[in-house]
Amino acid sequence: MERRLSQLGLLPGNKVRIIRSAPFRGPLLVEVDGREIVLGRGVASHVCVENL
Amino acid sequence: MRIALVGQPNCGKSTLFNQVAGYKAETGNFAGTTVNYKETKLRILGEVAELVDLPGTYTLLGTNPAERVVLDYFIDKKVDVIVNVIDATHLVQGLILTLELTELGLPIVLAVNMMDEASRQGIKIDGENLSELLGIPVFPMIASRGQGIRETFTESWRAAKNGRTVDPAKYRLEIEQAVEHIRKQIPESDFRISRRAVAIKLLEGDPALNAKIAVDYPEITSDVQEKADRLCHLLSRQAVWLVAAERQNLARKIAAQIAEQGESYISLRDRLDDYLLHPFWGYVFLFLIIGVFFLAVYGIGGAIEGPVLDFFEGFSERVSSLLNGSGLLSQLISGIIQGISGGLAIVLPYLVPFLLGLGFLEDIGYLTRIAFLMDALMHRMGLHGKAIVPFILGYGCSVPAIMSTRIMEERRDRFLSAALATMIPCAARLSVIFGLAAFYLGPWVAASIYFYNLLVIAVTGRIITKFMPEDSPGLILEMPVYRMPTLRTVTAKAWFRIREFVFEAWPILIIGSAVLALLNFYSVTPFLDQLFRPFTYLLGIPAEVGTPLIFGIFRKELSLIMLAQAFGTTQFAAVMTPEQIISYTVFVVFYIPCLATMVTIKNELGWKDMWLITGLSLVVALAAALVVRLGLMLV
Repeated sequence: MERRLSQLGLLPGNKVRIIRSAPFRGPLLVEVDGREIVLGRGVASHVCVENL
Repeated sequence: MRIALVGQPNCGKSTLFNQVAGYKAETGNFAGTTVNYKETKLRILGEVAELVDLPGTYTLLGTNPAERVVLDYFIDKKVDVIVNVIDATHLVQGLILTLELTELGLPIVLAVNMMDEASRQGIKIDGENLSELLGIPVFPMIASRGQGIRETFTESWRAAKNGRTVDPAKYRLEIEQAVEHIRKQIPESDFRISRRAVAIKLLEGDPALNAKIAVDYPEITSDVQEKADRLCHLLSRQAVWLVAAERQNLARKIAAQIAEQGESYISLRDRLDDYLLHPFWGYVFLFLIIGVFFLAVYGIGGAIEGPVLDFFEGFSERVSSLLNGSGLLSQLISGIIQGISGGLAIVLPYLVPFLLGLGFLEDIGYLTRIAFLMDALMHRMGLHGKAIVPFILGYGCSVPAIMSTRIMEERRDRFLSAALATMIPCAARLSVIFGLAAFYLGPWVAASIYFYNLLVIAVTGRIITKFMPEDSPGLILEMPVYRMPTLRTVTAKAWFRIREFVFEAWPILIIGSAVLALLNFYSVTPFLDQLFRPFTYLLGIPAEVGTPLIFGIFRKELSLIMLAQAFGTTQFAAVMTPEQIISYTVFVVFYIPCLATMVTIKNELGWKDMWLITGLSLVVALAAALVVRLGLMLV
């Protein structure tokens, strides 16, 4: 999973913007480096972020 | 000479490949359309070269079987030049892969694709500067319109002839020292890719390459481990992260130097997702879009089916009265006519609008939106949203659907989504649902069958999940931007499948129909019918459908086309009650995958899983049809 995230640009130190989330505990849509990525809740809960 | 097309998912490699090869590769606006490589011959400056379209991958360190193909290809086969395609609107990500490719020590030509999209977004790219910074030739390209293709391939031919390679990018000192240390120990000429690339991949922890080294050069393995640990200790991150971060920084620096963000012209498309992915309206639109699509297929197909069936019915009667009677020849000819009319009246009228519509939804980028909206529901059946790709491809044909399970990382997910995707009614079963149930009983019956199908799949998924608990972390998927599909790509894609029906399936339908006429003539069918008698008895449907069900395993359309032969008429409403039609259709939708699908499952997952899925489908088909029968009896 870590590799998968790093491939899509989710590397430590990068800025992430949450665009929207699907209802019923559905996935999040986030933007990294201008690319939109869908992250399931399970995955997203493993990503540590800091509020900017 | 061999030219390899490499690029990230959804950057347009397959579109480029199809421009060159005619329509041979599947394309679509989502990640993972190409799961295996395809080859074609290409003539450049009077010489024949071989062009390979490799699956899209974010890095060479693939995490799923589809992505693994790329690095394995470079290790196993001799490649003379790489044509690296990147998406001009996602330069940073694209360049990360480009930097990794330059390490391989092969000549590279870079094609910056989707320049039209970039200029719409106000992105200006300085190609000359990019070429200078990377040290490789760079060409702008709009693959969907065929622009820049000739220049790119002519240059790649030259690059291959010169054998011109580039100096790979340098990383920070600690990494370079580790790489250099390992590189020196790797024997010369043992790999087709540069020793530096091998060393980096070993440090990054590529499982296949590390396993190979462990067997051939066990002494290097311990060294790699030591260096990786040391890097981890020094810089407090694993080597794979360190290298990824280095490449990203370099790519960002390059992109900042060569690209300029001007004023963007799109606003409507950006806002589209506010509606289509809205927590409430998103589902309303999903329902509407699927509903309109469904009614369009029904409307167009139904308008054609009736008249064409009538025409062939009359034609068949005239022929049989001409040959006067029930002799072998007359039976055989009417069997052949039924095979022809089945394809023309029942299959094609629904297949053509269906494939055009599906292709349009695929190319515009709506499928990933469906995955986003449906992820929560998919979790209920033990899968994540990524499995929506095989599901949706399954509505076209089960074979590509099962192949596309390769985009999943976990074997359990691959099995489960393959098992469930085979139960999605493919275009062949669509003809049974529309040609039989909808045609005689109305569109709502067909819609209900589709809905019921999803319900049964969800329940089945839930039950299997009880035995195989979900352990995958879930969905990680790139959201593609909306793209207006060109008429050419959509029609070409539909034609790809229609051609398959016309030239491969239709002859089988005609032969099957004729064979059934023979079997009828010599009264063999009652014996065949007995094979399926336990099922037909339980479902309360006529015993004569046994033979069409057996032939349906070869081609699903046969279970409808041969019904005409089995009953001796195409007026099915006269020989079957509405309840029987529904039970039969439901059973056909689920039971035993067709032969081509079974072979694909065997290739992808092995014999054991193939039999497991086949057995499962039979159990599910019986249960689903029985529930329907009992339900209809109560009403």
